[in-house]
Amino acid sequence: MKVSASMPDKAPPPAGDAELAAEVVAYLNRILFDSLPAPTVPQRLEGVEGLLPLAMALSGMRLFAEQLATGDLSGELAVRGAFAGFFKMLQSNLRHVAWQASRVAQGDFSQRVDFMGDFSTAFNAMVQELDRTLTFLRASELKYRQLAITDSLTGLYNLRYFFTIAEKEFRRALRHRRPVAVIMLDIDNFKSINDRHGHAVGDTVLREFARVLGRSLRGADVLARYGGEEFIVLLPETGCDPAVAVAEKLKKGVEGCFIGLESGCLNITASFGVSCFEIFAGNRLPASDIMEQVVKRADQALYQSKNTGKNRVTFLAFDDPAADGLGFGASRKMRCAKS
Amino acid sequence: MQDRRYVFSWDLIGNLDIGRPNLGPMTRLEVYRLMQYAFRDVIERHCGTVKTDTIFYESGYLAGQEFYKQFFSHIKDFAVFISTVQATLKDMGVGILRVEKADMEQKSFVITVSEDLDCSGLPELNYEVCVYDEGFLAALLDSFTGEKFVVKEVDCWCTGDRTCRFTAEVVG
Repeated sequence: MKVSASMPDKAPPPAGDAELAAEVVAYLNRILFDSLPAPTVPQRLEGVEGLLPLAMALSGMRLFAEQLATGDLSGELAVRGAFAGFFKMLQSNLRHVAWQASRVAQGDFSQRVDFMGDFSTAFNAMVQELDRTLTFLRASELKYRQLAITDSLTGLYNLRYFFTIAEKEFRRALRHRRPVAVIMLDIDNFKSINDRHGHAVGDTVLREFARVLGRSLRGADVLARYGGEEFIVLLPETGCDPAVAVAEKLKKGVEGCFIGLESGCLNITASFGVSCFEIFAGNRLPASDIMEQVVKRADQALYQSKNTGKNRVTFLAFDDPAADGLGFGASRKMRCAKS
Repeated sequence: MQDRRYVFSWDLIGNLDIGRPNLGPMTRLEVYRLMQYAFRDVIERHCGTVKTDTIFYESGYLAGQEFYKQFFSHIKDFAVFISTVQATLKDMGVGILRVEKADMEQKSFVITVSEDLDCSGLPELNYEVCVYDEGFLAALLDSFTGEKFVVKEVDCWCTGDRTCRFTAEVVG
């Protein structure tokens, strides 16, 4: 017996066939509507032509639909035809959405869905919002990172970040046996500028001073505000004589700088201390100790410049024993910055 | 082979702005299918089914290579490549391409094409017909990755599915 759509024009089947047809319908109903897994074809119906492949197709689609309903997209449906095709299309769409979601997770916010009705709208809105939020967060992160490493008044690096870079640079210098120098400098008579003209003018002087210094240095040099009116410069790949020459150049640049005020022009000067590390033979110190010693010597040299008339450059060698008796404050500050 | 007249180059597409100032670059899909299935009929009569499929796969491959050179050869990133291919195929009315799976390590892909130029809407035939598409997709993947892929259609409109599904596996 063939299972087919109702045929009202034909005579009803004999009683035996009607009973068999009812059993076929009941069996197919169980596959389609029961919550329990589809049963095998009852022995009595095995002889019904076409029932077994139909039952297998329905069972296959039922299992496939169940997998889809539980989010399992790995199923394979061998059944062909339009009905199975709709299930496979849904699976295909869901798989593609899953792939698109994985792309979004990797930062590809160009992904859009246009084949899943309301879900498309929600997905696209979510991706656009993620994109907006992440762009905002990245901009914020950049802004706060910049704030964390810079001095807000001058825009130069702050002390903490200076030593982060300087430590790496001293390690690199030691590894490759390359010279490295430090200049410390301080605006002369800055307190009197503040007292005479006010702190607003003092701030202008600091900003202008920073700008002049920055203009005279190489891209690889690292300039930072040390605190108050003190500044520090790291000069990679620079030996003692070139470092002193750089300090002299900076000194001249500052001397030639006139800061315009309402009451006229203000000319400032600065004092400089220079030290460097360039002799590697016999060295047993680690990079951090070398850095501390070079900064200390530059600070002591600055102290000498201040005590011998200001507006001058003083150099102290890394291993100058006479320098040990001189006063300095840089090392203590450096430890604070590094901690 | 000597005395070839039609070694493909993009020039054979012609200058459509000059050539079709009124009709433009679009034509009815029926005309495309008329040509494709007329070719298929005649070639099959001359060469048999297997050889015809080979000819269509290789033709698709050649078309895919030239299409890649024309539109995608500058792209380095896979996601950009896929999204550009999707947009181009959609804009040109070729089909709606989607990626179901892209395993870059195993070099294994599952790609679907809905509303396909070659087959969507055809009567059910009990076998897949998008052999040209197989070659076309293989060429796109080969050209982008530099590896040799074999593309096989596993579901097709003509086998009752709503969307054509292709597996692509690297050879060797």
